[in-house]
Amino acid sequence: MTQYAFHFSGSRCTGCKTCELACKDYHDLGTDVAYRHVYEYETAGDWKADEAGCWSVDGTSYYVSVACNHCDDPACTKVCPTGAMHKDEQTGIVSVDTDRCIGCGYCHMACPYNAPKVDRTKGHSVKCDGCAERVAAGKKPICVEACPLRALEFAPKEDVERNNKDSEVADIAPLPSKGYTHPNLYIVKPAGAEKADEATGKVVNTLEVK
Amino acid sequence: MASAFAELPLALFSTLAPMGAGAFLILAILFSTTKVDDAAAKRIDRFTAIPVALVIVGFIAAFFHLASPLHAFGVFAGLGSSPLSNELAMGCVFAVVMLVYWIWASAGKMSAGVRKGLLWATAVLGLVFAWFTGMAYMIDTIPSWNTFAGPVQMIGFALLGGAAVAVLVLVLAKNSDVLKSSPLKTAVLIVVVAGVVCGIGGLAAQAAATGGMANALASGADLVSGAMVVIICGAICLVGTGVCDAFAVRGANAGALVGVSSGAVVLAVVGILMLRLAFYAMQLSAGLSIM
Amino acid sequence: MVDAKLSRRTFVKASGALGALAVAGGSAAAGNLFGPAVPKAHAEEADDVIWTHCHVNCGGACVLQCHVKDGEIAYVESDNTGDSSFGGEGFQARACLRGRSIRRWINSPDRLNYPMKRVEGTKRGEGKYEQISWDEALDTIASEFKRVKDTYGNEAVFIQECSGVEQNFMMNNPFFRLFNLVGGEVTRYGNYSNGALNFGAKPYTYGDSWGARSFRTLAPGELVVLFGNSPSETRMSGDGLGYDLAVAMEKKGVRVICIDPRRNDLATNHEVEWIPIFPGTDAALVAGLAHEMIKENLVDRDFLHKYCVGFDEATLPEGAPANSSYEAYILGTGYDKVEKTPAWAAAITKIPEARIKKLAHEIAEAKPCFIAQGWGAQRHTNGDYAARAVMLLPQLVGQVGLPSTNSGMREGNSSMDIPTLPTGDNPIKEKFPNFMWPEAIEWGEKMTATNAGIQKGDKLKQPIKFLVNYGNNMMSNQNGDINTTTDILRDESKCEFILQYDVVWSDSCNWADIVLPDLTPQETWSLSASGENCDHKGVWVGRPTSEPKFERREVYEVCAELAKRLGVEKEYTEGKTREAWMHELYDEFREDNPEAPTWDEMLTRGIWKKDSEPDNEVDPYIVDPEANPLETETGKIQIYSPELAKMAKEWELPEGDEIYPIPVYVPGHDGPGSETEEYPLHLCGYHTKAHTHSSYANNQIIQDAHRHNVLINPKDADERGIKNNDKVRVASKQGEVEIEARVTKRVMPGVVMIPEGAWHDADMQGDKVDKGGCLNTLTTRHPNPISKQTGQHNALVQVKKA
Repeated sequence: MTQYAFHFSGSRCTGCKTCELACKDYHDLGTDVAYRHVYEYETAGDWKADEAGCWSVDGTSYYVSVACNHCDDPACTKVCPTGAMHKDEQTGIVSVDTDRCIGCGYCHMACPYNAPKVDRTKGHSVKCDGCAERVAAGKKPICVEACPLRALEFAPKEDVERNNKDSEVADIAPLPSKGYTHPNLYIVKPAGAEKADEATGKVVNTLEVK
Repeated sequence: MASAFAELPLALFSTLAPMGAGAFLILAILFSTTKVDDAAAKRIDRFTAIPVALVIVGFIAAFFHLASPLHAFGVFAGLGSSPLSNELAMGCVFAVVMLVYWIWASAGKMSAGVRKGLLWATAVLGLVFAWFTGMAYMIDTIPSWNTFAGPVQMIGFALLGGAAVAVLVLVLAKNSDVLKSSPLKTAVLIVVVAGVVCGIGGLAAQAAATGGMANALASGADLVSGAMVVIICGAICLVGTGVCDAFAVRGANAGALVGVSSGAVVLAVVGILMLRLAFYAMQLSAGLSIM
Repeated sequence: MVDAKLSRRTFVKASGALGALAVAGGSAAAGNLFGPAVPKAHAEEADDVIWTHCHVNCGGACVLQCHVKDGEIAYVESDNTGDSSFGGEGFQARACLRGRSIRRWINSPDRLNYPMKRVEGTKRGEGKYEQISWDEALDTIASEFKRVKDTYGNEAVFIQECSGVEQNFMMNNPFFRLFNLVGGEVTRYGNYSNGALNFGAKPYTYGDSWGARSFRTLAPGELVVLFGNSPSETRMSGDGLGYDLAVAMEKKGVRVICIDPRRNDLATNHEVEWIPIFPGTDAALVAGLAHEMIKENLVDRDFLHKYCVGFDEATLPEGAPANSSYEAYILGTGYDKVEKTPAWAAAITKIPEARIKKLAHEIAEAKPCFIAQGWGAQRHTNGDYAARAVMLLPQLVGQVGLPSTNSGMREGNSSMDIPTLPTGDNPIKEKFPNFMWPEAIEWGEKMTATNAGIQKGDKLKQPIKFLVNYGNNMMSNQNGDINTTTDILRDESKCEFILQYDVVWSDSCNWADIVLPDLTPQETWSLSASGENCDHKGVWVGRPTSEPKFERREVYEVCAELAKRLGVEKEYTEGKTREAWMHELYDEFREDNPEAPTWDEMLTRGIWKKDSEPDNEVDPYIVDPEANPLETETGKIQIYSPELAKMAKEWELPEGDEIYPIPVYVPGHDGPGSETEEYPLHLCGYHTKAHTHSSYANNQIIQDAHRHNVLINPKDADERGIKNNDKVRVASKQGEVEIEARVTKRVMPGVVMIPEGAWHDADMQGDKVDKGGCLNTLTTRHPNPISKQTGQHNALVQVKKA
């Protein structure tokens, strides 16, 4: 089996969301569903004034772009009652068999990466499938090809590891600890990134990541 | 809290179905401890339609929660691995046994031994079903739900709500005098108290744990405080259910019995529904899942 | 008669209808792994792939490959040609989220479909319009033009800038070409982007755009100091300066310090140091840095003596009084006689004194050092001075004109030169400052060189009576103080005829007499260079993605119709269509670039790129200043400007405005220190990623991804009981908006920030509270003293929960 994986260069991302909007264009998604989200995370910190009234601030802000991580141990497939949410044996890509999905929403609840959603009009769960048809045709997923900063990659896991020797499996805030699902998401950490289990901050763009 | 209303069909399912299921426990105790004459049994069987209907309405509500109900026959594919498959499989086994019992009994050709056997099977399966309903939410990526306080709540709701439904059945079947007979009276009181303790206690334990959790999107304390009014109102309703049923078994006069026992059921429905909504409002992901 | 909001909106087929196009399986590289069951995207295997590009005024011009199915764009790809690696050879003009959402914009419910006229008996601003024929519209415009020309002369005719279709060979040139054939029109100078920098600072310091270098010239490990500059947001394209800087940071280990009231997107994710500065105090920071450099002997006096005038008393130009040098200002021996110590600067800038001192050493010790300002610092009523002050910083340390340095102005760029539609000669020479067009309507005939910065003449001859708005949203969105501006527009005795010609019904349409429906640049033939504010060379040729729909018509043809009515059709068209002009201009381009593909090839390939190396040689002026003087009065870099010294004596200025020959710190109108109990917070504008100015701001899919909000510090929010995502009201002396609050540590206490460009949405017959949250509802009409250009991105405000 070849396991595909995403790579995110957190030190290049500017939070522009071109990845998210290119995905919405390609997959014809409306304003209510996104397969990829960009989280704006602020660590703890405070503004402090000195005797002269001058300001300094500690802590930082950074963006993280996340879609489905096609996890080794997906939370979504585990809870799926019908087996519609499944992990492909050849590619490791997690996708929905729309003929079997009942739209119960368990995958949505369980996934700690906010990847699957239930589209009630379509009558089933929807999510990132790694643009399988593009990858099958030798292209990159639309988000990868869209990123103005070349911060995203998608390739077989071994290639991602080989091409990004300093990258690690994603284990930074605001993402969950990698142990929950063993995501196939490798990252170069954004400056000032906090470890997932040592998170002090909050996502501030909560209305933009529904 | 507002987002929990998106889960209203599920909340209705997990309110009504366990209440219907729990009622069979009292009926099983009744038929095991008390001699019930045929006429009375017939009347009781007629009003057993109430818990049966609650279970069916509950399942229909769950059906409406699905985006593609027509695919629902596939839900058993995940048996063993998906807690939802387990829950629904358990629910179906229970429902089938319940229906077999009720149809058979209503047909009027059931021996006392078979009745006792089937009733106990229904009652036990009903409680297991309630437990599995709680288990369905024990997902390790949702720490605020991943606690046995969840299934304990569901058992509590089944016991308390079921007792209230069973008392109403007996009152409507004009068999209220059996309630005053010592074994059943004691049984009802024990079940009611156990239900209040498990239901409210389970939810309180879960809320206390959730209050200490946080993820990058929300803090558990905010979720709990957002749901606090609903939790308190729900808990008061459940205590009210218990008080009504205590009245019913401890000498409410015949005239008041229908009112008191119906009131107990209404309070149970409202109270359990509120606590179920509060439960959904306390969903806190280990990561970024948003209700 | 119908309400314009309903009548003009003909809802186009929902894009979702394209949803279920079945196609055959993929076959290439990874096909074997994926098998036959791979699901298809909503419109794979389109009928045609049409190359075109995004045309708005962000400085980029990104490539769009439109996959078209049944005459509709199914989805777009951008530039995926050549090397796609980060920092590799070549470049890819990858579109940002705005260009990526082009089909939702083209299919917007706000699209204009028919010519409209304001219903008789209704006032401007009421928004009541009715559909008319093209003939009626064109006849009315032509007859109004003739009437105004006959009554007031061509001096009363004005064509506004066309920000919405900026990256294009056509722009609004057809209107200039037409009017220049029939007597010309009064023109503007400057713009909303960099008016203060380019007209209040540059001419008096360097004379011309001198010394600017691009980020591609940065040396390994170099220090880059940026003032009010976030190329990550303002230069977002895949071939943009934001990308170039990101490459330099990662590949060359360049170190960046961002000086900004907001932690901008360059100072997130990247190893960039953010120094928060109180808005409008950049000149004070430079003064404090200069003081430390003088005291610590860090200034490069050799450089200052050889190349600059007016740093110290020794190099003051002839006629300058004693103690008028910059050093005298810093040491407290001239001007206000206050010593500009780092502690003095700290109190004003709110940057700790120790950090200012350290920064002075860091800048002085870095060789080379690259200092650049964005256009944020100068969008303030003291922007003329802020811009000049930042330009002074590299001069103090001799870091200008050398390789890998910058002028202290915006970083350099270099795009491809392509010819645009020729506009002919305008016999009317007078120009007024862009920002003051509402004043040119109200009291144009009284505007002079000394009271309003009129150039190429002493005064305007007429107020504006005939206003053409093509491809812009200036009237009630993008100019300072909407409520005052629209009060001027409402009075039909002032500007007698207003044309709005656009692709969407922006709020500005509500102030027009006639509204015309345009094609988007993607729906017609287009020719563009790669982004003008990028540093890579390319040329793009765009074909129409569909036939024109409804009664939309493009500008060249419409102006030809007007030319017919004004009797100059032959001279206007020279017998050529838009396509024919494009072909001719492309061939003209090819004469200078013979290696470029032929026209026929370009029609199918769409784009052509050319390798280029940025200029990084020592500047001729540095090599030999005598032989290669700058275009200033003294021929040198002017820290002291004799032109400004003269203007200080001769110009009539509004109360509170002052002109100084050196870049002093002045707080400006409603600047730091002028807070009141009623308006205690400083408002500052910035550029968001969700729209380019007001272009795309109606494209909901982008607005949902980057919500419009006011940034407020938790300290200020807590005091007001405001929580993240709350609806709030922000009020200034000029107006009031309703907007969502983003409670964030990314903005400093005492400051709130709102991105410019959101669509104004107020009941202008009623309370005028702007539910769209447009920044300019709050900003002022007070221009900068020297440039008379945009100073409006500062205002004093109060914020409260809605």
